[in-house]
Amino acid sequence: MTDHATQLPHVTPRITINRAGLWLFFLSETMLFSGILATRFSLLGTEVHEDVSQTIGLVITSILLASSYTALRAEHAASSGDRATCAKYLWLTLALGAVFVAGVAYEWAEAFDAFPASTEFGTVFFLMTGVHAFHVITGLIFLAILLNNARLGRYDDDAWPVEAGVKYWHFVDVVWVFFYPALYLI
Amino acid sequence: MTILTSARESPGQAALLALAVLTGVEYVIGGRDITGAFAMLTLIAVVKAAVIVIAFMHLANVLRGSADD
Amino acid sequence: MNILRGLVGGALGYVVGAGLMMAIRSSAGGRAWEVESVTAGAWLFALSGWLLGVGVWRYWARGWFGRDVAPYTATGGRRYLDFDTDHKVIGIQYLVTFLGMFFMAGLFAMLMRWELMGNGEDIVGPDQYNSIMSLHGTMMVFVAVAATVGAFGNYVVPIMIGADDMAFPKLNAMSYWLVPPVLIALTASFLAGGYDTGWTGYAPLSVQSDVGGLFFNLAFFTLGLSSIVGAINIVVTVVTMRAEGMTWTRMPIFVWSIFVTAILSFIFTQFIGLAMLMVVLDRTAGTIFFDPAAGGSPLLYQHVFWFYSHPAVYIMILPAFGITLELVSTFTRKPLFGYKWAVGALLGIMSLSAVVWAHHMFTSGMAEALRKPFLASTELISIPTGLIFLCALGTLWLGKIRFEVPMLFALGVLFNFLIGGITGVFLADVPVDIQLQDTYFVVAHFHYVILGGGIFGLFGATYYWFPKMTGRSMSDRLGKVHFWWMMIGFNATFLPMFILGMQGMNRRVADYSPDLESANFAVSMGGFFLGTSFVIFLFNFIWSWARGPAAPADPWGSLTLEWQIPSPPPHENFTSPPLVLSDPYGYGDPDSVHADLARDGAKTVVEK
Repeated sequence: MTDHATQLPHVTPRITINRAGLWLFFLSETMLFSGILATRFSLLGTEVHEDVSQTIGLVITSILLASSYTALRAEHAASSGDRATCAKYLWLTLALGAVFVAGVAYEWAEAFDAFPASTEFGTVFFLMTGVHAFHVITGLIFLAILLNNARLGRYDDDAWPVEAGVKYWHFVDVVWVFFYPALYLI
Repeated sequence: MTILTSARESPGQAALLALAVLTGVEYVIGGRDITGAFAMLTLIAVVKAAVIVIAFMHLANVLRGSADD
Repeated sequence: MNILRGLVGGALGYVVGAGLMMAIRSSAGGRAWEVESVTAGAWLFALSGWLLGVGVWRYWARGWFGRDVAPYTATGGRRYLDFDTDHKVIGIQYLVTFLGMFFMAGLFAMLMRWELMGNGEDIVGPDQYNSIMSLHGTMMVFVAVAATVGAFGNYVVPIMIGADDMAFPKLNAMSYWLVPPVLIALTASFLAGGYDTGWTGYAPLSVQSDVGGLFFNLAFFTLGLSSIVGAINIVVTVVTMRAEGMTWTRMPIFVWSIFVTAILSFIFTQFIGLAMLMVVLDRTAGTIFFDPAAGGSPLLYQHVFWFYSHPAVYIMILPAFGITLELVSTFTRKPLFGYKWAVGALLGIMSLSAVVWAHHMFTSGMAEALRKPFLASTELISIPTGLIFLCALGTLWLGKIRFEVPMLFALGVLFNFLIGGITGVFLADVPVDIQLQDTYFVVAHFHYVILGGGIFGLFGATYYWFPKMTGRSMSDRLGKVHFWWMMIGFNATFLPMFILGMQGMNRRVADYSPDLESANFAVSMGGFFLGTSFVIFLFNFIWSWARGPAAPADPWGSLTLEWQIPSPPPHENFTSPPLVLSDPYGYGDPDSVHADLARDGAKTVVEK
């Protein structure tokens, strides 16, 4: 590959450049999710459908928040070169993320009867959970790749990929922090 | 290349606890019919997001790193 | 070769995605095959397959699985067909692709003017006319959004700030290679019979249109992805990759304009993605975002759409402002007048552009209370725009102007955009807008802004940087003929449209009332005259690239960094990291040095 972005010495360290790019990506995505929230309030006002399951909402929210913590531990372990711990916590994060997706899938199955996409609430519900779940699933794919490489010690010298994947996971969590009350509580 | 991850000193547990408590409060508020619930929930969501962004995502790192001139 | 791999990958992706969608559909108890929902779902897979095949897998993603990435072997002309990460290659890829799209869309415009030349339905029916009009508009908007930023933002900006490449070279290549799927989607749309919604794709019409409309949604969505990735790259590059001494106030104004454009782009483009997504969901998944009968809201579409598309107008025009100021200073041989004011004006336009979108909706039935604030904010934006003009005029004032071809185009931007901008103030006025909404007055206005401003800027930039990019000079004489031909043709076409609009000629119609025939005939003649001017450009462009005389390193006597290195620049741009000493506008001051390119012992790493 002819990347010559490394040929001249840079004023700015690579890690700073990478982080700047990642955060600008988050900022950009924040606009997408703000637009979705604005759509939700524009179409529904402050109504919430009574058929959403409060229990499932609370459970999957707690699981996603917990998975952010395990992801943080994985990043911590990767940055100190501890492969085994990093892999362990990535496993945990993946498992918790998978449970979250399963929870959303269960909600969807219920929703097809309770508030299908052809209703106001259903339209908004499927948009919000769908776009969010798409990000969760891409996050799971990243985490799976990270797990594989972390176990083989490919991040011993440079833990940036772990940091990036974990930060993305946190970001998806931040989105849900706003989506949870907007879908279940208000 | 130095790895600048500051997860080492991260207040991870404290942040997780705060998130759990705030989620509990949210759940309780959501389950009742009280005035001002919308404002309270919004405020809590903002605080939770700030906790994640600051404690988990280390926003300070990027702000410090790309400050220039 | 890699394009073939990309096509195979895309086809495989489509098959996998379509299979998945069909499985979901049949398990939900529906008919397995239905072209729209299957294609919409499979598009994402096809896109991934295309990207992986075209080079992401070989040169990048293999590394994620612990394999060695393939060695990059393409050389010479083949690099332009490959997944090349050199920002200079990518800039040329963008330039050629979007010039091609520009001429294609121009041919559609010729068809439209042919149809409108005489009263009655001459060559196409109303549906075909609207399809042609929609494709013309969509493609031209894509050109205006992506051509200048993609071509010169990539090629020139890294060199101007003294960097050896963009911050993320592979992402940069990826953002270019997301463009061919846009072309494929547009072609598919054309083959499927097009769509009749115009480039704005207003719901609910866009929800009901034929399958061509779906491909329009997918094309716009994909171009949005490309823009976001490219824009983040540019912002990070400008923030983190500037050479030592290249402070914010020493950056060339063109870099500032691209920087501000990229900020607008990565923030607002998400909304066009959202708008397209919601239309696709309404079309295929049975949601009711824009269906008022079921509780949706067509106005919601317009809000989301214009929340992107008004800032997009500034994405189209700000690079042209940057080029104009750059050229005016270079060819007047004077420092840029009011540099800091120009930067402030760019930032002011950036901020205000977020709060003017609803001026497109004065007649669409939104709350009347919203009219006045949007009138006010829209007229406010003419203040920073006026500042840009004052900076240009202040630079020209008492200067010894060299009327080279790029300079002619810069002056063309000033002339045309003045008319476009002032008629914009008319349209921002609610009572006038209610009269003129959907007439040719609006058509004339935005063509003066985007063609007269943005595209004249694009051509100015092309003439200006062509010697740097190709190492060859373009014919000066043909360039001048092209400019005057295009300038006269442009004004002959669009100036009468203002009058047509005031006489009540509606846009987006294939036929009109007989008393407008003579004016329409004149406009068509002007249009054909304008269209033929590009033949000269094309000849000049191709012939000069192949046979033109070798260009010196700095044919224009410009001081910015890209002119201080050979034409075309070497692979790594600079042999040693430049040390920037002052701003690049020290014209008339023999002691002024913009940068030191050959400092001794230059290999020191300065890490902050």
